[in-house]
Amino acid sequence: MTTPEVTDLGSGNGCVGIERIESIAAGDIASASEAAHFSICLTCTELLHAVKGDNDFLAEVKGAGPIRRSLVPADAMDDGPVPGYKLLGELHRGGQGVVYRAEQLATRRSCAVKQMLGGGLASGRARRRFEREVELVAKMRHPGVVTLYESGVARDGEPFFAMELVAGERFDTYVRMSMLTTRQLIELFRNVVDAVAYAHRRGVIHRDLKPGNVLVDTDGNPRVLDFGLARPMENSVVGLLEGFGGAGGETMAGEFLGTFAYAAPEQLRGDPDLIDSRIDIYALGVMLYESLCGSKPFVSAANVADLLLQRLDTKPKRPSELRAGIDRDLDVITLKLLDPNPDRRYGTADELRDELDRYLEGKPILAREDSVVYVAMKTMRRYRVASSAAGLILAIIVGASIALSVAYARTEEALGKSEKSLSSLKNSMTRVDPELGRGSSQLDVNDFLALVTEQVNEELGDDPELLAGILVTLGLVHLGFDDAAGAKDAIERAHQIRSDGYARGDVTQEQMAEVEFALARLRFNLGDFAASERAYQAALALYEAALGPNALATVETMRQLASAQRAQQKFTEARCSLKEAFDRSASLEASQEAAIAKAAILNGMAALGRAEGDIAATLPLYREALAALGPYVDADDFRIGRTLYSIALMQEVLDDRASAAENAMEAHRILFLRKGPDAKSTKDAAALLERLRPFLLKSE
Amino acid sequence: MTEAQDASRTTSAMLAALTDPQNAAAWELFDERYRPILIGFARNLGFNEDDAAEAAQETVVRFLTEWRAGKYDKTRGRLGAWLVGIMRFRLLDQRRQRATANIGRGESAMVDLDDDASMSVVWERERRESVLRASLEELRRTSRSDPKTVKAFEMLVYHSLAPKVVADELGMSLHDVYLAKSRVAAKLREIVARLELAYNEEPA
Repeated sequence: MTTPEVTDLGSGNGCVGIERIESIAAGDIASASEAAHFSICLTCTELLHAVKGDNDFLAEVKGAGPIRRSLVPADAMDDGPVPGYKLLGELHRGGQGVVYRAEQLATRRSCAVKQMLGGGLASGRARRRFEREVELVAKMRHPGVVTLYESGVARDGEPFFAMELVAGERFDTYVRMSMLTTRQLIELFRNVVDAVAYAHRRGVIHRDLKPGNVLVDTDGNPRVLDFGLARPMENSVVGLLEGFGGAGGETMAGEFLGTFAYAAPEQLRGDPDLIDSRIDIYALGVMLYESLCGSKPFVSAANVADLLLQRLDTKPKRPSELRAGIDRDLDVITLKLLDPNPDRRYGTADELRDELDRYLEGKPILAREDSVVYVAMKTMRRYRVASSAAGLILAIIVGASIALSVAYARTEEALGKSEKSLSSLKNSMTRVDPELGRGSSQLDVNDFLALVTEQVNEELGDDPELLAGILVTLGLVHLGFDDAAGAKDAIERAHQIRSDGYARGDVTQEQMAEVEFALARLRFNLGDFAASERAYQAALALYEAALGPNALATVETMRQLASAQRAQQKFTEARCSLKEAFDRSASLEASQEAAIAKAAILNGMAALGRAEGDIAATLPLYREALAALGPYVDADDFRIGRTLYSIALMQEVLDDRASAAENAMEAHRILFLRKGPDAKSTKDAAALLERLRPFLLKSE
Repeated sequence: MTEAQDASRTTSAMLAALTDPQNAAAWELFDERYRPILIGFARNLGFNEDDAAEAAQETVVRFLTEWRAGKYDKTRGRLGAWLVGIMRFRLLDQRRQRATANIGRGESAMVDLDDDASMSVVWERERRESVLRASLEELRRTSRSDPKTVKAFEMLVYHSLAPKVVADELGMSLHDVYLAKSRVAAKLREIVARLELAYNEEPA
């Protein structure tokens, strides 16, 4: 049916106005003159019928149910630059776009609108991908992710997207202003990582993580912006390079500096095949580094090529070198994030978040999990073992476990055994972890070691060779804690196992030497110096045969032999042993171990001088020991502290109390730092310092 | 626009495509077009929303199985009649189950539905309303060129606002408001006519 339009109306004289026709069509009675007009005007009559027909039709349409949403899209009625939004002012202008505070017209809610700039989505393919990604991002619901409302095309043809408006500070500004402790910073950062992990699980890569894209809201919760939307071109690198003014990257536009600073090497290299979620991991690494240290890991470069070289070739300084209070674990985590090889970074943000959780809970981090010593250290920390004591036993475990693994690794088939022994030790440590296993944080260190020993016995009972190796290590650790009783069973059992094996020819001379050495130390600690001397003699013979007269282990055994001889007042024998050890040490290759061994021999010679009453002769020896250690250990290494204590003690006897006081003070400082307030050596140093304090004041 | 959203696709073309199990779009279109009619149909017969939805689900699945198995019998008439037949059976079955449960409570187990003629009227009404709703949706999608005209129509017809209020609100003359109503009504008629053709239920 053809319906006349209302434009056809009113052209003739005396025609009824459209308002009246609508009224009459709706039921009003026509006046006499109107009725007369309808009778002569075909146009008005047809129109009246048409309007009536429309009304009936529209009543039917309306009867089909209410409309759920307006027939006119919200954006269609608005003629502002961004359809559907009233822009209320600029919030931020960056290289890729402008962010406005805005009001969504349809809902009247406040929001932020980001309009992309500069023909960023030139091709249809790029635009489609952008739109797909917007769909993905719009479905993300996470407290750490800023919600995206919708996207569209602005009047100028550039894409825009509308998102939740977050009142807060940029991540870096917040960190700077809040004076966070390292722990608080890691807790905050962990929540950023959690949001990124959520997105990664949904297949969304951020691509432009940087402090400006993370806002910390007024409740202190980080919110990540612009997920997956930052890619300006087909491949982000191409876009970035073009932002430089050419693929050669000769000049660097200021706006892109921010992005480049957080770009992974594979992003800079421009190979799209290499770009995956690990570019976000890298960017998180730069953010963490910057937050911890106050500076970026790499200085700004003149062009992209230099920037790339820098990323690949330069290893950033450890954060702990730049800021106090950062421990080794944080160094490891941060530098792992910044590894130029993506395969060596954390694979996913989930892994990183879990690692940070472990760090915050004081558990061993996986980045360092292969070290038995490290696991032991973490476990002991949770037992609240003084760090000094932990350091001591760890030094012993390191030596023993390395020796053990080296000994086993000598032959190809024994390699597996070596790994098994190390992993068994680690398992044992883990199983007595107060949270994971049977331990309790109330246990003291000796109980802890007893538990580990018991676990090892259980785990390796069917493999005597491995059991013996671990028992030796543990026995030495017990001795390190002056727990000769705890060491006794472990070392004697190990000695028995190895002796039997040696008789059968299953145990090497070196392994036998090792257990004889441990037995000798045990006997010494138990006060049976004669038995100790015999065991040291046996160990010495075995080491000489296995490793040669000038090996480190041989020289060290000879020095210890002197201690056992000295304890029995056999000063001549002791002096001979020490001299022999000293001479042989001259042929050791320069190394930290060699320096420590040499210093120990010099200390031994000085101790012998003291025992013989030749106090004056001891001082040069102690000083020589200090000089030997100097280049190889930290200035506040506990050995330095102990030697200074000995020097102070001798100076007190020699009446040089001012010097004694100074050395005692330094010794006490080092020992307190390294071994804690409760260690015997620290207490000895404190007592000496107390005696000498008046002279210290005088000297000041 | 996806294929499934192509409301203009004729019933014959859609049914032909339905024989291909890989053609998800045809299935979506069928489901999009007929499920709401089936639900409305059952609601009109006094079934609650859940029961209506359940019967509609069973009906579309049963229909598809029978169609693909070539069980369609032209003597059963138009597609609508066929669907009504399946739906009616499902609804009766549902009522029978409820009634059986009611016996335990001492209530009547008698079940009844209206006769075929009145059922067909109900079906036709639902089908027509479905066409009208689809037409409005198409109008919404295609009316961007003249949003003010559509807005005036919407305010006048759907919000029942006085023409003068609409004119003032949109900055239009009264004449233009009536013109808008007339034009949109004409456009809508055109869409309805096209969709009526597409919804023609004579199977190929």
